[in-house]
Amino acid sequence: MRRDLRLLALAVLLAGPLAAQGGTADQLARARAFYEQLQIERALPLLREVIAPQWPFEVTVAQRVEAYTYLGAALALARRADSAVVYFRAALERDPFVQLDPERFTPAQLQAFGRARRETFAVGTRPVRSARVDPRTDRVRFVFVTTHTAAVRAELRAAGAGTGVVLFDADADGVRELAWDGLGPGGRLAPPGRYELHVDATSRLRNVQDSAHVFFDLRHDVRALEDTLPDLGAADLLPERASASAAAGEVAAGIGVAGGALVISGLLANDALDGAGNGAAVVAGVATITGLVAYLVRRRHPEIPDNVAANRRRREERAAANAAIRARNDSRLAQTVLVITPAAGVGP
Amino acid sequence: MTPGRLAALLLAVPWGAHAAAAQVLTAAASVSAALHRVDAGYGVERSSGVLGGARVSLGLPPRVELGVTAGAGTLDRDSTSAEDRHVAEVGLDARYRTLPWLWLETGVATRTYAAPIAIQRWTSLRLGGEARVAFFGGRAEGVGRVLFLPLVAVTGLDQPELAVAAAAGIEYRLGPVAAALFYSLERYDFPARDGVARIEQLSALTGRVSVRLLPFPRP
Repeated sequence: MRRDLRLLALAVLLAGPLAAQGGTADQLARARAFYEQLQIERALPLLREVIAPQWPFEVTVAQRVEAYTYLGAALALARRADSAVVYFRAALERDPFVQLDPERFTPAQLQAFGRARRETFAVGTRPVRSARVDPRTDRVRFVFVTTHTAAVRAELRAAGAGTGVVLFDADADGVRELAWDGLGPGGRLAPPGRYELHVDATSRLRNVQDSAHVFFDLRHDVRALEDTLPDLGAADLLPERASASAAAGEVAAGIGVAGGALVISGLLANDALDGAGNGAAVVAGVATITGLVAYLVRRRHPEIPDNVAANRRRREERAAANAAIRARNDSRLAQTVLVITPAAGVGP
Repeated sequence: MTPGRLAALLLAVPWGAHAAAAQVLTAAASVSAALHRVDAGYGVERSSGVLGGARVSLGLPPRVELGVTAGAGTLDRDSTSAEDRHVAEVGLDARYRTLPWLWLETGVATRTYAAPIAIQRWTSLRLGGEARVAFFGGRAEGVGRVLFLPLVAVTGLDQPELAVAAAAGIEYRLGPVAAALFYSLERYDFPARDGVARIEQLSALTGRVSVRLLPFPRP
């Protein structure tokens, strides 16, 4: 029972919008039927009701454009060309992409529609479709339209940016398709973000300007990039200059060797055998002199050539590794796929 | 187990571990001014002389080195109680680098003293280590070496109570060539026999030049 009540409530809530959609759509369907049967006088009131402010149901832009278009067509058939042009213009102002199929409409209707296009100036852009585009082989497509001949400049720019890439800058009349290779002003792949296609048009027939824009999000679908190796820090490099204590260590090393020789001669040798010769003193003297010379050389030339060379080798190895990583990353970036999704405006 | 067999076993371990490593072949020649002292209860007998030596070593970087050493010379008596003797020695050793500056060493050597009245053979097993400290920007190394001789077989004598060898010196390097100057001393204290304790000592000041034969130095 309770479940039935909930379903009933839901039906009541949905009934309004559905009836509104159905009301306008039904009205338009009936009007189209009368029109197709050339019962113009019966079609006209139905169409006028749809565009009237008192019409109780919701009317979408497309429905309103359709109503205006059929009103214009019906009035053209009724030889009321001026009125037909008025309604065709109303349709064009709301949707510059409106076209009359020459197979389905009479020359008089087409003539009135053409006049409406000349007297109306509007530029429009088609919404961007979601797409995946490989910029190496494909292009991002945009479509704009002008109601008659106009000087058109179409510029693609990051949302909020002042300048961008000019995709079109010439005269145009009617529908025009633009292709974008995905590159930014510097010739590099456009970075991810929100973009705007801005179309400015100046009528060649009338002193009128119009503009249109469409937003979309651009995302890069790219294989994960490798991080380059971090800069070599102090812990990664050998000291290239010896410290003062290192210079003193040279003396200590020489004295250490000298001491070792003297210890062997003095403590290890058997006293009962009358000593162990003067060899220890010779080695001690040579080692001490070597330590002193090493000390002086180290003080004058504190650089450590082996360490300098080792550090240079490490830097070169790191640079080579990073160059290889960058090359691999460039290769991956070159295979980037652009993911396009429509967006509502400058902000998220 | 004889000293020779024990040394062969000890040599086999590092060889197996590093047989595949790159090899470094080094040859060395040395000249030593040697002093020999011995007191067998009749006063100190002194002799001295020049000994020549040679060594070939095979390095298996970074940790292993195997070497063959040979030497010979004459010790002339410096005291009336001593005798002139010819000395010859052959040794095998293996070294293992446990730290960048420390080598552990084992080896076996046999030495012969040949006098007009007798020939005496010394065979010893040696265990010890060698410390090397680089200085002078790597152009020189200070060397200290201590070897204990736990097994010493001497013709006609008992196993010594104390047998130790030590050396200290400095080695200079210039590319594949190295020149070294060492002071070394061997001390043997034998147990008393019939109330007399034999003590013996061989010290030497040695100059050595070595050349790395393989791998060839880069031009």
